[in-house]
Amino acid sequence: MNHAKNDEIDRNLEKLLESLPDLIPEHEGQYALMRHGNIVDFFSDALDAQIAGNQRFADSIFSIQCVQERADQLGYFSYAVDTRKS
Amino acid sequence: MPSIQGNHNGRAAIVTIAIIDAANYNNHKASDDRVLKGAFPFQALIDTGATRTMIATRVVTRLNLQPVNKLDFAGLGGVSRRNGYLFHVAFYKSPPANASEVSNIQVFKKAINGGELSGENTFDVLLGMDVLTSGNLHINKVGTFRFLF
Repeated sequence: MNHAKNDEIDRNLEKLLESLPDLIPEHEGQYALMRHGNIVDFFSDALDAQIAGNQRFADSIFSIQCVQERADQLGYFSYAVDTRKS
Repeated sequence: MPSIQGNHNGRAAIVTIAIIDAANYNNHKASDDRVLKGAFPFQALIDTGATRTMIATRVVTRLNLQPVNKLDFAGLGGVSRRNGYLFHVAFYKSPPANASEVSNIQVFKKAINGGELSGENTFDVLLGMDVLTSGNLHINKVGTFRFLF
């Protein structure tokens, strides 16, 4: 992954988490299309959000992020996830 | 309704699936042919305790998937932030004769935003509830399972 894309994903996630309390009531479970730390639009489906990003941003510098409060669970194999950041 | 079936050993149910990149193609919803591009068989463990489907790093590497986001996962070591990918899951109606065979594939239409699973595992994919709740999963006592989707 190129650094610009990775930085964009990290920045957008941090911005989304900052705004999460305000977003949850209306957009929980939706996908936010984000660019440069700003939310461009919301979509009910991840693929729709990704397609919209591909069409709007030719440089691919954007990310999609699910509006959700809780971390996902990995069930029986939760031990397989370590605590290192990727 | 399409379906696949297989065997379990009382401890785990493994199914052969394909993972197909969905992040870089805009016409997946309209074209099955495009969806099947790059299909490759992987071994998936059915895990009803996993809220999202997870793919091993070797799957990411094999398919050259690019992350679309990052996702938080709760494990025994606490919350871990992992790369998230956008892909389609496809089921083989029967075990493929070779890695490139796509004639007997049935594609699960919903795109999955799954995470990357680190570490060495005997399986390639954890098939989570984001897929399983879109169909009907039957696990029975005679050692077989069936998934209708």
